[in-house]
Amino acid sequence: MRKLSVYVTLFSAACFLAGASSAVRADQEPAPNPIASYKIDARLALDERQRPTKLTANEQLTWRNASPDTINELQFHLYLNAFKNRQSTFFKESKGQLRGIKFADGEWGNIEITALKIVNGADLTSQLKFIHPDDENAEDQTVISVALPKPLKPNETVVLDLQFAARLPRVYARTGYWGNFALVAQWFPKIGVWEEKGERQRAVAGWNCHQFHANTEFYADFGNYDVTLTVPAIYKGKLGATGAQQTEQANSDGTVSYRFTQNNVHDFAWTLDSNYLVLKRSFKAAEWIKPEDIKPMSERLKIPAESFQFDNVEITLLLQPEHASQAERHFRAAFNSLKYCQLWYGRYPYSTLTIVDPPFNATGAEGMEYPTFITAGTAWWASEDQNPETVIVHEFAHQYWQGLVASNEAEEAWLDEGFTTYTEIKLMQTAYGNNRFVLRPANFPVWSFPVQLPHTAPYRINTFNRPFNDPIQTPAWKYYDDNSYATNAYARTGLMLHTLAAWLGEATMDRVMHTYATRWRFKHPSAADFYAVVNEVSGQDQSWFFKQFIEGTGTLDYEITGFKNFKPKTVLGRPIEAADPTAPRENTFTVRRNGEAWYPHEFRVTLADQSVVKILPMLVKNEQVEYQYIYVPSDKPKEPDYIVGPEPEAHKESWPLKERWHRFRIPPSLSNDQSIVSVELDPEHRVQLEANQVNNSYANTVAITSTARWAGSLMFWLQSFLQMVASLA
Amino acid sequence: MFTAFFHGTKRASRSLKLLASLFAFNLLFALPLIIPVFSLIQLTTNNRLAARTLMADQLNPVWFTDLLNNQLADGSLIAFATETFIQLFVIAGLYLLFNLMLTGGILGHLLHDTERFSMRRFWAFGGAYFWRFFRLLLYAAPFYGLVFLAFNLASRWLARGMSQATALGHYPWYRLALYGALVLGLALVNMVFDYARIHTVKHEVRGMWRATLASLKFCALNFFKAYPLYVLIAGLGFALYAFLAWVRDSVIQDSMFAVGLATAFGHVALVIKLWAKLALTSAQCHFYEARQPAMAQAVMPAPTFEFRSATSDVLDSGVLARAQTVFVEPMKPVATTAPLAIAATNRTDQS
Repeated sequence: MRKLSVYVTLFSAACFLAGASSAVRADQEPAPNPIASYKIDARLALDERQRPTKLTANEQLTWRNASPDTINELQFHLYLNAFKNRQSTFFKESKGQLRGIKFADGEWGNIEITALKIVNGADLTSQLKFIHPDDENAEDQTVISVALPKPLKPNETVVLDLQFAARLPRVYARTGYWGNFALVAQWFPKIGVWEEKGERQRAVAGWNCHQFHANTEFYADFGNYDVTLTVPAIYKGKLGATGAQQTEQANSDGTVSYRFTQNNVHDFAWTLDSNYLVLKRSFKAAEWIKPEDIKPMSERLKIPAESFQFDNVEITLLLQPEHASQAERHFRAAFNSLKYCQLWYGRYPYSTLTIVDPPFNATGAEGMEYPTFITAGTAWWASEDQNPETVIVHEFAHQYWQGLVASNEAEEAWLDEGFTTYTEIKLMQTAYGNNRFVLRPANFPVWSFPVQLPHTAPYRINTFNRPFNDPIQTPAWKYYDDNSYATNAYARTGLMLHTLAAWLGEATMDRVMHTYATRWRFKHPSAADFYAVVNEVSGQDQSWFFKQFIEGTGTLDYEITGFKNFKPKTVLGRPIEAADPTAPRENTFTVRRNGEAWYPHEFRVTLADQSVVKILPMLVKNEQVEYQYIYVPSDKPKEPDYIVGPEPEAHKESWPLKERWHRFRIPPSLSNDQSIVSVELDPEHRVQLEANQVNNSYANTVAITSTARWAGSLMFWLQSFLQMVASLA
Repeated sequence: MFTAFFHGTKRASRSLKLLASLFAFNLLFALPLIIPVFSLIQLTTNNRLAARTLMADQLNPVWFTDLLNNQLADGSLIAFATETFIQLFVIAGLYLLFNLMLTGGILGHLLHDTERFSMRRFWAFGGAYFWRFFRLLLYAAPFYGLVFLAFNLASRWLARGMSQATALGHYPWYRLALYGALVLGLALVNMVFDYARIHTVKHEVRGMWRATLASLKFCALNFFKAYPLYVLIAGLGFALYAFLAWVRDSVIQDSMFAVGLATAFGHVALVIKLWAKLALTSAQCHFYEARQPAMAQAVMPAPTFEFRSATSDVLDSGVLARAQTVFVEPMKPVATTAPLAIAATNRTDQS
């Protein structure tokens, strides 16, 4: 008799899936057939020191082989074992420190699978073995493998019952407890992703189940989650999780149980803290997204306005009491995020969003993203710097970049962190404007630095002060060091995408991002998939850009080194004919490429009568950039159709790519014999990969006043400091 | 205390030459330090359009980020901050030594001179007391160290509590109070050594431990007047300085005129700070003299000029000889309420 019970049929899987909440709106999305669905019954207990660290759970995993391959083994992540001892790969790489937060000695965490069996089938517990796909670290226990008694054929489903016990570490790297608080993330045995040949450019089919590294995050298949959480009564009403809460039930043993469900997500995290202020608000789409917001986006994206769909979202804010006065700022940040991300990247397909404010000394839990669930982080005394907003916007953007467009965070971290950085910069700039930098000695916002920083600025600082050690496209655990990871995965990618927007034009870039976000929603795209979207939407092959700025390490830095105006020779103030009447009479300016990378920059030449000559890159052909000169009279600065000079064909210029510098000539026929007063490349400062933007201009400017202004201020403060020191004498 | 306060402020306000000199010294010291900064801004903005947007109250963010990146070239923010801190530390040390000279000049002028200010005598006094004040500064170091140690211990205690907390709660306020206590503690040590310096000059003492002990005794006996006097004048000076600094900061510096105006306000603020220092010193001198036991008005001891070679021009020119002539004459009382009454024969602490 065939052992049907070993492998559950698609029918049984469908029955389980149907059991999930019908209220979950993601069901309406054209989501893929779920691959990895979990039903978990977890119990968190206080330990002998009254800390929420002891976790036990039963997990039922329904996993479908969605590939054309026959699979003989399953692989699981046991992320919590990264905190088991000093021998884990995570600990060795991080040296017990992540994002500036240090490990507290002795506060280990771990996870152990106590039983694993196929439902109504074989007990596989004894088959479990730790594997190390990334390194030779035999002590690492973050990935486990189990051989199946019978190969799993394409489209077959297996249902596994697991029991596991875990201990939460003190939180310093995304998961753990502190005081009464716990962020329970990466907490359950989670199956890896089976990738078929060709998927994400994979040469051979196989498991993608990396060990937990210091700088890697997560990668998983979509599925439906049905999780029941039983916690001590002190946490009644003080708990939040991925998805929507279905039930709350007080138990006879003094505990309380909550059931959360969410379809079409690839992870589940939850939190509790007896101190939480639990605040709920609704994002009312009709109030926040008006027709006047939709119309321009509709025109830009070239899709009908009717196709924009938005729904209300219930937002739960779990706030620390000492941050109560910042509740409105948190909610507004969430509302702005929901508004713009939906306008730009399509509908948010879930009905809930939970925002967590971790307590003091739990900063390791801040700034993380899980489906429908993000952790924020703010200052004790919020000031004019956009502190809680930036974190919330960034983490919410992850709902799209990795939450929905589920790239591999371990192998291509830039596809989520960098895209999120791009979105954060754009959204913060759109919704809030420039930021301020506030000095906070002893937590008091004492002094606002006198500079209004665009949101690109924090990412530019410390990114361009040294050569790049790695290309952006590098697996997260293979970057030269933590700094290189942060620079490339976050800052450089964000700036690279803004540079791409400068090259393609904002409207085209919006179409690129929208197409990528909607086409790859609920899927696992790779860099090549993004390249394809860019090429398709722009209608051009942009591989020169990708090779240099995603797969290369070259610095982009052009400099205007000067200009020279033609002056006719004079005798006693009277112009005389040049000795050589054929000698050129044009004005010139010189541009030098200081970095290894090249970019077809736009130049803007301002003439003495305030008319402008624009020099626009038209195409890259035969290893050279071809430019077209365009004249804009001073009385028509906003002329939509630029006026080309009298001899359009004559007003062209080519710059061979191999040449480091080029001298551009402004013929008198175009400049009307007006002299140059300034030259600027990338006048709008949109090419954010330009390592040095100040040298992108040249003018007859002597900066005495501005120098006196800032040097004088600095001198005042220096004198004040010295006088303070002098009081010791 | 209030008599001393009014005396000090009045004397400081009248000492315009001295005030102007102190300001000039301060300016001359700061100017060379700012030249590299001036050059850096000039170099990075000259012939660049960024210069046009570098005015008013906001730095050009493009220039600012590029400047930071250039300063951080091949280094980290921490390395840059450390380097800057070390440079500031060295500059502060040099300035402190320079101010030891100035303090000698100020005290010599206040305690030995008539109200007429003479630059040559100012420097002669500065040279005369420099080495003794330097020793006093070294003796003061352990006392300052004790204050910092106490601050550090209290900070650690606070940090230990904070490290176990799940809410920041009142900790920032506690820390603020701790900083306040640190300032008051430093002020206390500073006050003790102020009086040690006054004692040194007043009595021509050469033993600095003895001067320190005498000052400690004096401060202990007169704590409830001496310390409030210090806090009152220092607080007043700081409040005036802070106000003028705020006024200076309020000027929108978008033209050369506005830059000049802000600079003027800034310098007035700095002068006010110097005035406060002078007023404090003058008031302390007055207070010290007023609290001395009644002694016969007699001959002031002449200051001992230690750096004879350095002041040889002064000696050669006969200025010192004239000064000594003045010193052997009875001093004119600084204030009618507290006539100088120091008899050389009564002094026991002169070495």
